[in-house]
Amino acid sequence: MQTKIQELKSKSSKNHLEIVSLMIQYMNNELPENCAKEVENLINGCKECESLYREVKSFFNPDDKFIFELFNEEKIENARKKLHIVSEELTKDEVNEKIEEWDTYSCCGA
Amino acid sequence: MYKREREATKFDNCNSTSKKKLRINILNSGSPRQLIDEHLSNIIKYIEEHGVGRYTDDIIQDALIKLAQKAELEDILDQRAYLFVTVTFKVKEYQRRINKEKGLFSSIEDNKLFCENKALEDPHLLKEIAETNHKKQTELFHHMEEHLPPHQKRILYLKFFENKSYKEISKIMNKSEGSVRKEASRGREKLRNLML
Repeated sequence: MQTKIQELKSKSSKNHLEIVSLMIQYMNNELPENCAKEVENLINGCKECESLYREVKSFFNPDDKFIFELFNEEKIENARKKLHIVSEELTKDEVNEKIEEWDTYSCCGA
Repeated sequence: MYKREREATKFDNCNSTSKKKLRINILNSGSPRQLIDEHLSNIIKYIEEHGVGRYTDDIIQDALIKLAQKAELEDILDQRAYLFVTVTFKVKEYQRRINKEKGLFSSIEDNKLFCENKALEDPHLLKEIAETNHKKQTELFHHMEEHLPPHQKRILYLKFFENKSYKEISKIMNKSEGSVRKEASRGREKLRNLML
């Protein structure tokens, strides 16, 4: 695990994804004890990782989510409706066009 | 194995025409949509907290397409992680666009956005935000415990802390989906009034 985490510390986006995945599993107590300890060390041992973990936690925190939903019900429902409309209405050409746009616009996407 | 992962595995064997077809199938099958739908409030909250709330619809749409695009490219081992990375990347992209288009301090609004982003790196402020959130949460749990009837409490718990859908809750509680929705709405309304 230690070697794996050392490997993951490199900055490629794929490894970033794996670190985030480990952090989510750690947050939800989905990791075996020894792996959880390693992830904990990773979080406590590097400022960048600590800040990333804070962000992951804040993104998925169910308590915050509940409070947010309580006061933004209408906004969320509107966004949900739009999401459903957009996913139904997007045509093949529009999706391909958008993807091409990204391919030229962004050099290092998620 | 997730449906989307199975689709992605199949993708290796596709020629370019069927790749396009699959791309649309994934989009229409609802898998990326379901993922976003499930975490929609987290996404909107994150977008607003990072000062790009006026681009919520654009960011969600971009994330939807990005997820549909990614699904065809490789197996996604942890969809939650990919969603997080996609949304945070999109938010940063929109922040960069705002700054680039208008110049970093060309308007009060951008200045505010910049300060907010800087403030999020301040450990003292972060501590303060965490304390406020904790206080709100304590208050919320107190109200839930004291003022909601047990069935409403259970519905809200299953919905928001166990991430169950209304359909699943209706099965668990042996009630119709409509009545579960109604009870959840009543419970939320009560809590909203108590928290104001």
